[in-house]
Amino acid sequence: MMLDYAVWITQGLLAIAALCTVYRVFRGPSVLDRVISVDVMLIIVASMLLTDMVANNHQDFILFVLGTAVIGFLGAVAIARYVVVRQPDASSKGEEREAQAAALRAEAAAEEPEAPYNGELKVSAEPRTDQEDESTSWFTALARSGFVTRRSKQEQAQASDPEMSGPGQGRPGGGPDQGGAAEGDDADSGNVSSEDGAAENEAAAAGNGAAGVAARGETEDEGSEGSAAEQSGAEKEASKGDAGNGDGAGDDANAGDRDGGSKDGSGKGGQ
Amino acid sequence: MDAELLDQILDGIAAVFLVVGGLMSLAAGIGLLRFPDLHSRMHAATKPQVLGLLMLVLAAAITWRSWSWVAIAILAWGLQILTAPVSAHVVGRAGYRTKHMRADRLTHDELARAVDRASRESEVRREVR
Repeated sequence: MMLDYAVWITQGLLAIAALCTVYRVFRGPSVLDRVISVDVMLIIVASMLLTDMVANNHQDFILFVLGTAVIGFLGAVAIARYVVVRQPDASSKGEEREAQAAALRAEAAAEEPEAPYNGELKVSAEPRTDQEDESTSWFTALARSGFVTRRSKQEQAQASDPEMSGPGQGRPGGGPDQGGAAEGDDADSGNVSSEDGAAENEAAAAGNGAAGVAARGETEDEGSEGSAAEQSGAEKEASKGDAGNGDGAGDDANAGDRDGGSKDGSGKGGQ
Repeated sequence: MDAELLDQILDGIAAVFLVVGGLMSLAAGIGLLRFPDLHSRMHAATKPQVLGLLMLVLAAAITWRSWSWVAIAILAWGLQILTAPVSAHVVGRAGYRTKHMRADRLTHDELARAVDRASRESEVRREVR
């Protein structure tokens, strides 16, 4: 009789423990918490079998108890191995990305005062918040790093004659000022949605090849504008705004590949 | 009279063992519910694996009044004793390496120095970092 009370009490305690365990399996922040909770759940089930055997005085479930004791650890071991392989990769990759982003931001903030047209312009020092694709982030980083190739330096030295290079590609003439204005507007307002920027630009510089700025292709486009501005000496003052606003991206994009830059810009204008 | 008294005493012992085993499982459940990080939860989770199962197994063996079943029950408990540290070790190591722990709650991290030395000497394994 005493044993019957003990069995009921024990079953109640085990039921409460099972509920706690299920809650931890449900909530567990990591898979390891769930694994140990499932282990405890298995032990609780074995305990319930034992309690039932005590209550009804039979030995039918003893093999189940033995089995849980033998193979109960396998699931935990397998899942723990899996976690070891997978988890640090994801977390360290995230940390790496964050560190890269922080470095980029710090670099941009540090390099901004040394941007080419710094003295005459108020360059907003706030970091860019637009999303960068992985495939174009290297280009942005290069453009911000102030890297200039030797060849483009030479070309800039003899850039006094406007007809030898770039500006003919993008703009047949007539609209560089408007294009520059639209560009500066876009860059000043920081994060205009790409549709707005594109529409504005198309309205301002209709007929230009380099109309329209997709938000992602901003740097390339500014690069092309910068190159155009630098090559044609007459437009220099007009488009200082964009060149300075591109964090010094003007001559760097120019350095990178002039054709590719302007072609990119025009191609994205068509989107 | 003698046999009846012995029966009652054995039943009483089995009842106490049962309730103690249930309390162990309940302690594990509450520990899983309340403890803050993985390793303290593991500490709570080992209670029914060892002590709780021992208590219940002894209660069952006492109830059955048979030495052969005592042997089998102790065998089940021995297997549990053999395999529980394996899973605890692997889970604890994985939790340490993947930083599923709260380092501010550690009073002494004895493994940190060894990990530092290992990562300085040879090339760093990804999981140790």
